Amino acid sequence: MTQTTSSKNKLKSAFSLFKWELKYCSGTLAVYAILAAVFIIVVLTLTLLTNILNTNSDYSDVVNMAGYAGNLLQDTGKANVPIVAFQFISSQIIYYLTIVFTIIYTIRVFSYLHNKRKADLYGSMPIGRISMYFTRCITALAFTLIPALFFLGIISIVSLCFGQPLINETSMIYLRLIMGSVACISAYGLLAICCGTTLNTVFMFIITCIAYPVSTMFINSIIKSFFIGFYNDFLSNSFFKDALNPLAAYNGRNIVYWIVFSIICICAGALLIKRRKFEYAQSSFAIFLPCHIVKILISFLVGIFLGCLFGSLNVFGYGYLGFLFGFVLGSVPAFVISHLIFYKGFEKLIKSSIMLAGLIVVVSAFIAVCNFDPFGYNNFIPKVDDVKSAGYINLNSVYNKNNDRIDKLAKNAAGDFEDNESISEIIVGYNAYCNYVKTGSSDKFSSIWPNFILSAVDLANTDNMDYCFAYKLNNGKIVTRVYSAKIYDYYPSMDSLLYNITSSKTYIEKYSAIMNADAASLENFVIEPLYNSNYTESSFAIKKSKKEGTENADEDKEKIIEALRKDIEADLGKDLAESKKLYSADIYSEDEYYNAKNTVVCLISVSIPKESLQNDLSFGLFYPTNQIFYDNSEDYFIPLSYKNTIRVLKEIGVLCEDNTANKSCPYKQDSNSDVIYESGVTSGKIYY
Amino acid sequence: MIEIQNLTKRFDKVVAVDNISLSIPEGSVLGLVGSNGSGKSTLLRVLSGVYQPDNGEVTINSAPLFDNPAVKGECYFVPDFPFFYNNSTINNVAFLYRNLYPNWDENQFVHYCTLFPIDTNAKIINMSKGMQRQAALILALSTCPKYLFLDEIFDGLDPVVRQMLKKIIVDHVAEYNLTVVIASHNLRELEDLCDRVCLMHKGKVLIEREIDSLKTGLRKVQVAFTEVPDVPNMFDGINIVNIQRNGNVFNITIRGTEKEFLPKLNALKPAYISALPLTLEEIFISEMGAAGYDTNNIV
Repeated sequence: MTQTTSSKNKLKSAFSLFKWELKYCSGTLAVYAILAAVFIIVVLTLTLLTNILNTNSDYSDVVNMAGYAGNLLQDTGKANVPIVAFQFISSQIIYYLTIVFTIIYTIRVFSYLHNKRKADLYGSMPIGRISMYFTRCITALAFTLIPALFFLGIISIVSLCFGQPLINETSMIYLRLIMGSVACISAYGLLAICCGTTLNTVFMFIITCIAYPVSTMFINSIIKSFFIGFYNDFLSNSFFKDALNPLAAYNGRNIVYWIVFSIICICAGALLIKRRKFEYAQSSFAIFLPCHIVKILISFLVGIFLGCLFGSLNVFGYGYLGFLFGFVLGSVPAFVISHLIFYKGFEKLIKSSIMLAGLIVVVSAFIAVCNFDPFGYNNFIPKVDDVKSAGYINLNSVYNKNNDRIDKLAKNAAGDFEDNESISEIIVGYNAYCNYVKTGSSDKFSSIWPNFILSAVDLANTDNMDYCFAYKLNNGKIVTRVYSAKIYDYYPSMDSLLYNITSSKTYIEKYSAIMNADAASLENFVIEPLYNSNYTESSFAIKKSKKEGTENADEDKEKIIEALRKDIEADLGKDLAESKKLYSADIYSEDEYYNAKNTVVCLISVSIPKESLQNDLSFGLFYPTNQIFYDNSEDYFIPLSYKNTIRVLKEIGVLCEDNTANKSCPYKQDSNSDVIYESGVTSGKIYY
Repeated sequence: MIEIQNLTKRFDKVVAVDNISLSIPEGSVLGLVGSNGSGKSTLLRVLSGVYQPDNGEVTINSAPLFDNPAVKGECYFVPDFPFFYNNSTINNVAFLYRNLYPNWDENQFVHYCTLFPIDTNAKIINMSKGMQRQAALILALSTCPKYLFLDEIFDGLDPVVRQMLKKIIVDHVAEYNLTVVIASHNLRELEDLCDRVCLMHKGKVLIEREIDSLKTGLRKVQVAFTEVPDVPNMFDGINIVNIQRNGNVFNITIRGTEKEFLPKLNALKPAYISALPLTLEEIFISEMGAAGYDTNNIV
């Protein structure tokens, strides 16, 4: 008769084991709880005390860090700001504290696989191996998330007591903790099954978390340095960059990937735990594949570092030879040392060296292809006759309406301009850039380092300087190039070379926020009358405030946007481009200035708060790319021909009948206004 | 009944248990004896489901044992070095076992806690080796197992506790039909406790039979001659396991009964002859010697 255990009994056993682990982790949990409680109390005391002692202090930096728009100061009143600061700082502390303790709990709960005496205890217990494994995973997860939820709950309750609801960032932290914990626990659990000792497991986990993303950054930098203009979104902006680094799941990016990753780890763990023999406890490894991967990863990383260093130093007088020398010099000792650490001796070293030899051959071949450019990637400059259509995008100030990735934006841009004049202008700009890059970069190996540093920076939080060129050739082939100017001290000014392109109606219609964003997201909407004046005497912010007459600000803003869109669409004579040109510093002359003052009515500046463009969580396999709208302000110098816009501005009272500023308009800003301006939007800016 | 069929367990190139087959009837006490590294502890770990056999099968009442919680719930394994967490006490280990082992008996637990002189709230890790064994035994007996696997259990126990443990096991066997497998080098203790014994060497079973039949099957015979007969192969026809000569005195281990070998020995007209049954230790040494594992071969 075959004896089996019912699901109820399995659950009962699993729950007993959970309670047992809880009992043994109670000390660690107590340490976590004490630290969390102390930090929360300290932060609350300090924020309240600072507020009482210095009522003028603002927490705008913290509030902005929290992704909470600066207008909180205006909308919710200053009393809540210290609580927002408290909420943000204390939730961040809980976040990092939880990450540290997750790792501690996880190491502890999976240590039963790495000790022969523990193996005797747990191996003989009447509980299935898979049940034991799942119970351990759930235990580690529960130890992580339940205390974190408790303390984040306390933070929320304290905030609510002070009248401040939960800010977005605090709730997002919990979701990020869930994702990060699940990914880390499942990955560590899988490694723990493969390893024979806790030390090897921890080594493997740490090395994978560090070596893998750094390696992808190196690959990314090498490709960018050798194939100038190649946009490798897949390596720099996708799940792939951190694919084997479960700590990256705490960022809350690529949630779909991390869910899949965790499921794969858990399923692989469940499959392997059935086959793993308990006698492997205290041996080096139970399953050797991850060990080989990590050894190769370390060898690659150290090798590529020394290779790039020696390549950029022109050792042997030629970069490629220097690279090869450096790669071998780095990878071989790294391989041997990692082998000695993992195997605790030289056993199987010779046999596994075949993998190292393979790595050296593959990397040498890859760098040879990059170095010698056999496909002529870098020499491509199209002729006007060969190009059917072309496009250019200044990625600094493109509003990405459909949240497309840059490579898709680039491909779509290839059809923007079909006239020869525009195509020629784009090719001229492209040529200027190519010539500059060729003369400016004496050694491609040298540019790996700045590219590498740029890869390390979270692009979502930095100002970008990227330009995109795209061509649709007569044979139907689409060629795109995306250049980043950040790695060069000086680069050709695309703004002046491609002025006609960026100020064209086609460009504005397709890439501007005013034409594509909804009115609600254009939060900073400032009008500065300029007509018949040599400086801006006053500015008007179309925004609700305490002043009477600003109640219909949203409707008024929508009216202005609608009118401006109509005028831009009807702008056959490129009046908007001309009026901008008149105020552009590099073509400025006195005559033109006086001409401008009688033809330009006002300046409309719009911007989208940066914070609203950044998501705390992202799904799919790529990061959201609407953050490429970095230079988040757009200036429109409204010419006299923009009748619809001028009419609406008069209707809402910003302009008088003679196109001058209506100083009694309720939208008029005081000189010492409290309004927070985003970068690029200023009040009372003087145009001399 | 525990059925072991063609069981093999390897550790890399080392064959710890080599194709052994064994049946352990219900209610028996089997002593596993053997040289160091003969595979006794490995066999116990396979029997308790810690190790998975590389070949062969272990079944309990026809049900496979490995990764079968229902069967393992009726077994308990006390290893040679039981594991306890740093803050484990008997009471908090019992907290886990209560829900984990289906036959856990709270009355038995209370009973054994009073029987063994041990503080149930003291940290086990701080106890002496013998006390730790006692703690492991209290927990083991409280789970009321049907199959109890003990590895070097007498090691570190004082004579009183050893005696008490033997009594408890015998009572359990009689009362609950408990099946016990004990691996030990303490053959004196096994002799008192076991009804069967399994002698292992280099992963193989040399002998497995009832201890009484083993004892009666071998005799330690001392034969003294005034003058040793000048007869070539004078002990021919006698199943000699081991022979040692000291002048005119021969110490012989003979397989068989007095009826079988005494007439043949008397025919040699010895001055003195005595035949005694062997202790288990003597059986062990003589059998191991026959298997090439004796002091003469080792030293």
